[in-house]
Amino acid sequence: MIRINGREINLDSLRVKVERRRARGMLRGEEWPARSLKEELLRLPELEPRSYFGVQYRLQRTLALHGARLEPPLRPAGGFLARLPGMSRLGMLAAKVRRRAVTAPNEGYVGQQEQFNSRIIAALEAVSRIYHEMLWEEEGRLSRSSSRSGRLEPLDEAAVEGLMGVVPGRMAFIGLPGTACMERLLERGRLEMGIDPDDRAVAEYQAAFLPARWQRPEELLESGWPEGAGGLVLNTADLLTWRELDGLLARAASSGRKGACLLVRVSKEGWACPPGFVRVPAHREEPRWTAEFLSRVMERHGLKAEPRQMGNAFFLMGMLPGTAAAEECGEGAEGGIQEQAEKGVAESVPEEGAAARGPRGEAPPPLSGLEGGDGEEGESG
Amino acid sequence: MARVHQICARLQFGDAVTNHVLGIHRLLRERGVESHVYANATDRAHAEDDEGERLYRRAYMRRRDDLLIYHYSVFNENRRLYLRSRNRRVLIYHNITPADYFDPWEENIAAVCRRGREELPRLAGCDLALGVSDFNRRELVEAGFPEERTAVLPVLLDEQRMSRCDGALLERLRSDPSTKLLFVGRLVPNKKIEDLLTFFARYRRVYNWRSRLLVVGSSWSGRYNRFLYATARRLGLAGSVDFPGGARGVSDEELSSYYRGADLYLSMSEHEGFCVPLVEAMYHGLPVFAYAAAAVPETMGGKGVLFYRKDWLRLGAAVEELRCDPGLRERVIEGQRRRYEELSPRRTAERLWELLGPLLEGSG
Repeated sequence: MIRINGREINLDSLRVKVERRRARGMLRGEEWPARSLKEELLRLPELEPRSYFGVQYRLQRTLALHGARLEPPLRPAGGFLARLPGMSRLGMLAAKVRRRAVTAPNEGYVGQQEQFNSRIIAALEAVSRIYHEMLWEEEGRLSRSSSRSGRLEPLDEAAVEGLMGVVPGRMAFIGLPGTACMERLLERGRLEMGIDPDDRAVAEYQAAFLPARWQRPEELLESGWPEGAGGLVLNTADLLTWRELDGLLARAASSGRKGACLLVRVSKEGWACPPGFVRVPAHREEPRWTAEFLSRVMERHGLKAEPRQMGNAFFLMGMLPGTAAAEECGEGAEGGIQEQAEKGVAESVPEEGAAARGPRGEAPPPLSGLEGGDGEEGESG
Repeated sequence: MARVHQICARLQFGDAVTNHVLGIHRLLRERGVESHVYANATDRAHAEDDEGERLYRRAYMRRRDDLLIYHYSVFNENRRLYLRSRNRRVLIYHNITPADYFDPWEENIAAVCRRGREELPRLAGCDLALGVSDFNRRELVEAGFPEERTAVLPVLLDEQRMSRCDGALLERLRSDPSTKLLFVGRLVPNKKIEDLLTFFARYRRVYNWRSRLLVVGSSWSGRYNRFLYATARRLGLAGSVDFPGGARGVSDEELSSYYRGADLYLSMSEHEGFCVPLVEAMYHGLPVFAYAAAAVPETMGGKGVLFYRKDWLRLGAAVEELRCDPGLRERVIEGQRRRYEELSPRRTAERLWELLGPLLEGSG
């Protein structure tokens, strides 16, 4: 019970108001506690396939935010996997099995339906409970274990000057680039925000009153291009899985402002970040994306990647399509998109093997002739 | 007119009992009453206020016409002076934290608290026993004090002290765009600061990542402090929680700045005999969210926001509602303003005079 000025408030209506506010984007919906998810599930009279996928997607997404994953992964046979040579039959089989599992309860087998529904509800409840505990009781531990925080090499003064030269207006960072760098940008009115999925790093920046916040990188563009940002700097591409990277660049390309640019940091050696400065989950290795791979992913979304050195950092710079700058930068980025559309999306994927690697924790895609790694794995401080 | 002597355990900067003692002292002097203060321990800031128990023992203890006010907030050897005194005696009970809260952290403090509560019934032989809240007064009655000789006298606040401000700090706080939740109080286990951290971690994650928690108060127990810092780190709050204060607490000016620069006052405390910071927050126009335990509902007087369960989700929703609804915020502040009037120094001074007047006249 909560009383405001002596009057008991209606908690249900309060919650409805908060939900409405959340729906308007004032709260971070993905982190709405699991108990509301559980209530939603229990309200379902019957788990239709549509609901099943919706629930599965939402669970997986929520868990992924906290470094966990739901098995089996969402749509194992969908997307690029089905298009791979030799994999299509497997994909079809998996799809058939899943369809059977989901549709069988709706074909009139009452007992089977009940069993299915009760099992899946029990499973979802269990996941919900586990997630609930994870969220509420082990929040800090999880945030630490989900990423092994390394020292990301801060951008030096020349790099900051370089960025200010190429990015029109303010810039947003994915992966915090160093307090000195952010302070300099803030002083000059060129910093929009910096996000990072590492609580401790964010806390450190917030303590210095810098506009840093905790967020998964792929969430940044979910509600569109950051208002006021003329450029997006992906400082830590290695934080992202293939799907996240692809999704992020797709959204950047589709929602970015005219004239805005996107910079992806790479290292001299061709890694997205210098070995020793990447953040990887404690329990397994994360893919490390080579410069060539990154440039081809950018091209896939119509961003002609141009290598640039600025101070101590190397970037791949892509201008968002539809601008004069983009045309100067690449050989007609719009043409590239059209061409891809004609060819089909799958053909523009840099390497099928790369696309086939599932999210999180599978081996990096061995691009032909670009293995590039010297085996300095897991050296993340 | 008779002299008034006040005895307390300690005169310490930032301590609510100390401020109450000195408030009464000042008030009495303003009204032309000779007043003296004696403490068992004094810090440097109040060295001049303490006249030394020896003076009282030698010069005044045997005078039947004088009035002794004994402030009881912790077990202390100076209770002997109170017990042996031939003055008319008034006991002001500020409450003693139940020892259970300290048991896991500080055995010595727990023992002192336990002893203090055990000793309370032996202090019942007085002319008047005052609780700073009705919650305290009821404890006195339960301890064996005759009910007809008990009354309530709220803590006397010092508005002059509260009106000072550290401009630079206030400016820095106001320039920070994040939502600032404030707690003021000693870092002791009964204040449940760990609950505050846990709530804040969840509030920050679920509702408002752009928020900071300010825990302003002096540290009391090394072990409990370490636990709090470890909890903050475990919850990933390093950097978004500030513990200004250290061993001595913050200055009056800084404290006022924190009240003025914060957006909301939040207390999870489970044991309070009165809770001065709630009233200070009301004075500064800061909406108060407080866990309804011990004397807290009484101090709030039905105003502000009281919660009866530490339900993080709903509490967070209520905090968020207040943050996002200026109308609601204004109504809460207005309610608190009315409550503050009831607890204002002017009203308390009148009440004090009403209670002590007959004793002073009778002895004069």
